[in-house]
Amino acid sequence: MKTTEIMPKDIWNDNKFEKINDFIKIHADNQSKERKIKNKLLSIQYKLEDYINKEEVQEGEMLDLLDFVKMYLKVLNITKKDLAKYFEMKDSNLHKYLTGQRKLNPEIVLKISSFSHTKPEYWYRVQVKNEIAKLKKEKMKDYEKYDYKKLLAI
Amino acid sequence: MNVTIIEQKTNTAEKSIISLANKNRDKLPSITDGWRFNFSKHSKGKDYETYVLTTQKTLEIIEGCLIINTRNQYQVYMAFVEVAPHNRGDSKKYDNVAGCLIAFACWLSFMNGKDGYLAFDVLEEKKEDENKLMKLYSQKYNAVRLAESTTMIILPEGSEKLINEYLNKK
Repeated sequence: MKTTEIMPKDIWNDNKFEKINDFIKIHADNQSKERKIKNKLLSIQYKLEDYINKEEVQEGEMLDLLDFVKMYLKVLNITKKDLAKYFEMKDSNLHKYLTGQRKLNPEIVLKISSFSHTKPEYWYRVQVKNEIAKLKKEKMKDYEKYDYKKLLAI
Repeated sequence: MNVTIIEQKTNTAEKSIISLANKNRDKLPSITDGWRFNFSKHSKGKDYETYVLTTQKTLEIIEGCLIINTRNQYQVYMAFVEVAPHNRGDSKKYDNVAGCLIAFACWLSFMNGKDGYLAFDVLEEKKEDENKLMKLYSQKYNAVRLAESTTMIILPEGSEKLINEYLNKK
């Protein structure tokens, strides 16, 4: 059967894009407040999942827990201080957890998870991923000696 | 991104990957290979990103291909999406290839701050085929038609559903 290829010029032009954009603007404006927030939160959740599923984090691409929490605060239009109060803790304490100065514990993880509607393990995985990436970068050579092949001399 | 497609004959899950194609290095499908669109040519367009879906065990065989534009202000535009000739019809090798690619485009819309809006056009030589295809996109992929035009749009709720259905089954 003979098929004719559809060319880009057959499909898109500025006028069409204007119509699509107008439709989307109206639809977006008419969504409920809850849905508008959900769209933004999904975007952050997918970025979080993408980050923890990455094979390796390149230098300059590393994101702290604080970076992700800041994305949520921006969407919800609240400050870190507000969040600390909501979590019934001092802002300085929360800051230490989010910047890696203090290790996460199940209680703080469950609070962040409940707040952001994300799985608790995601937050541990960000912490572990960053810790390993930092250590690998600084001292990878020091750990190569622990290869089982060296132990068995094979 | 890791995804799962279904081998139709055995109804088993096949671990697969959607990856960004290198326009200069990778051999992309074209009409001479039995595909409907010339991905090799269209992928060179400015502002367009090309993605290919392959199984993890046969990385050299392209099961489906997608070209999108993420630079628009309000939506991601899916310019071309197609499954490989061997994944078409009743005797297709793999199922869910188109679903995974469309859901991936929806995911990119969220990732790029477009709230899940994905626009595309459905064009066929015969009006009858066009309507049939639009019906499929509407029923299977939650797309809505823009007035009486050839343009269809997947809205945020629809995008979220597709992502849950096709991408969260790793």
